[in-house]
Amino acid sequence: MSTREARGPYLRGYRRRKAVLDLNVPPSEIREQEGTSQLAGSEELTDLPVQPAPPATIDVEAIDDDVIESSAIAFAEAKNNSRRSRGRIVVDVDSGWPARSTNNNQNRCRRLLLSPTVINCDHYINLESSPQSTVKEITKPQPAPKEPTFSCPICMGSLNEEMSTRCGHIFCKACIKAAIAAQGKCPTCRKRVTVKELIRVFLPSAS
Amino acid sequence: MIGGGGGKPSSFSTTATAAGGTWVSTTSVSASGKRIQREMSELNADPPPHCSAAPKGDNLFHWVATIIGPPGTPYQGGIFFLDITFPSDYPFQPPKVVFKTRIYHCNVDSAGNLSLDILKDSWSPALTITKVLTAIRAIFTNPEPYTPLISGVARLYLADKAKHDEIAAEWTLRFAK
Repeated sequence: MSTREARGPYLRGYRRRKAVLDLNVPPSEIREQEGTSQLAGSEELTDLPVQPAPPATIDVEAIDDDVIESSAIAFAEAKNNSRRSRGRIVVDVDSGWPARSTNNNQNRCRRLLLSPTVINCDHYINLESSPQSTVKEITKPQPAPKEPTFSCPICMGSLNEEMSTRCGHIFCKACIKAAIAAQGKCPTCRKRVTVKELIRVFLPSAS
Repeated sequence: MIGGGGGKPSSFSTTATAAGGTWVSTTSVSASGKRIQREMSELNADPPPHCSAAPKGDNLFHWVATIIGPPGTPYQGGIFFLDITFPSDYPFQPPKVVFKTRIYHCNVDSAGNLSLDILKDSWSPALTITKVLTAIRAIFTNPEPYTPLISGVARLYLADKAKHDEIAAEWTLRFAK
């Protein structure tokens, strides 16, 4: 009975912790708060002197998430380590929101991925930041020349209502329709094309 | 002062002062006229080697072109004049190109007509006069004896190229210099 009772509040506490974790509070603080709340909330547990143990098991389960299961000695060590590492993780994870939410929702995944997640988060951030920088590098020189405007091969002027053939060549709508009426071939590659197969395309503005 | 600045005809404003004088500035130009104007400015900006082309007079649709005989061929040193007539539905129909200078060539008949696939069935609206002139210059170097206009010349070219080249060089000296 006592174990069952002990489990009851533990589970509640666990749920609470989950909820609190979502609010992005460092877990070390949460743990302390939970401990007090459990003591106050569960009256039946007060007669059990072993009572401090359940929090330990709570930690153990939590630690399981962080450290690979091993011997009891390793457990104790892991307990200490986990608190530190947990703190670290939260700090790291805070920087990457999506990674953090998945960690909370999927404990199994966390078990496997925890140490990698820290690295992954870093990678994720790096990946995000590096393309942005390259994009900026690319977009910056573009406005300067203003040269790359596309022209229609038929009228040799700027594209007007540009349309693509099935073979991917782009012309003005009026130009390609006249060309198909005259020859029924793509002016660029001479493949057979029809007016029905023309696709309206929208080129990105180059100017 | 204005004439000096009109050398770069990349933009086609219809204002009369902007026209460099090379082409006729009319208030409204047809689509084919615009295309020919653009080809002309492209030709002026980046002329193909050993070729030139320009409107004969005020008529945009009637041009004169010259091709200088490529070195290493019997046509070397000759200047060959061509008449180019653009149809009203250019570029959807090919331009008519006629040699005005006599030439001894299996793909050019005595009237100056040309047998060149891209000026007939293989014409494409994406082709330009620049490309046509390049193609004509290519058959100076490499005649196409299997699609000839003058079969006698083609036969001689295939049978006795030295003799063919000798006659061609003679004709070049007589008519193209």
